[in-house]
Amino acid sequence: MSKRDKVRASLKSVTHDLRSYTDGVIRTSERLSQLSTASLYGVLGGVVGMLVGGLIPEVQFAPQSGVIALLGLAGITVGVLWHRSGFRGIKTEQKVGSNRLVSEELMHRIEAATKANAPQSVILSLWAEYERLALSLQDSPKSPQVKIGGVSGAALYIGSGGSPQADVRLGREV
Amino acid sequence: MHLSEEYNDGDVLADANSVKYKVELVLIKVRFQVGFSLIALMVSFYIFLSLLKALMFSNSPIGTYELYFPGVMLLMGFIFIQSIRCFRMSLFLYSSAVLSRRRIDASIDDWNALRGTENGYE
Repeated sequence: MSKRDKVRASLKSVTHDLRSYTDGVIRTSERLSQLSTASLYGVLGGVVGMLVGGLIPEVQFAPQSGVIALLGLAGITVGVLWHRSGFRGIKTEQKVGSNRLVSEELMHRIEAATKANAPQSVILSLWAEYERLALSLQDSPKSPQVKIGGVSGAALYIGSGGSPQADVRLGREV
Repeated sequence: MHLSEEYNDGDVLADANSVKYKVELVLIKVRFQVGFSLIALMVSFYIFLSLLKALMFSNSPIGTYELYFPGVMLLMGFIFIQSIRCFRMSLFLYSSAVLSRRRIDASIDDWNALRGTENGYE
């Protein structure tokens, strides 16, 4: 490879890397902007909790300032949870997290099966499982599934590197 | 040299310049975030310290407002911790954006130098 090719390849690779990396930085930066809103919700929750604590006149087992502080802490927690789109949002986050773990495990299995030259049917069934897992994230069964040209995601992924027969077969199975 | 290769070279450089522009924009945004988070960090730390001092060295009898002191300190502690998180993350983003800009600058400079040498020989 000549020096020209090396420099050209380096420029192309840097451009490609930084394009995706910059998108990631923008996403993280937007998440960072949301952090201040979460803090605001927390502070508001804390103030409300403290005011509620101030309304409670006397408690036998704790000083009033302690009760106010405790209710303020609870208010902060409730405020932050409320900001994260309510308790339903937390459940969705947990669901997405567990789904990601399982899909990563499935991806490792697919890679291992491909490396070990496993039969095509095994790889196809793993891909079908992967696709089923991805589609299970959708809340409503009525929501439309994303398909391009009548072929869904996993089939397209296989189709990019594998045989066209695999596309058709998996597309029909799904 | 073929015309198609010339065109592709121009494309590669245009792509790189476009990404460089994007990195510059990100850098501006993140720089503002670093500034704001630093201000928030300093202000919350100052208020937190003032409250702590008032709580520890206050000789006045406990009245209505003093009852709220621990709760207000808790709130300030929460804001302080959030500011630290924000500052840490924005600083990381800023340094990585600066490194990205340096990297793409170096690559574009190399490419321009090479093209300049080639055009000089032709």
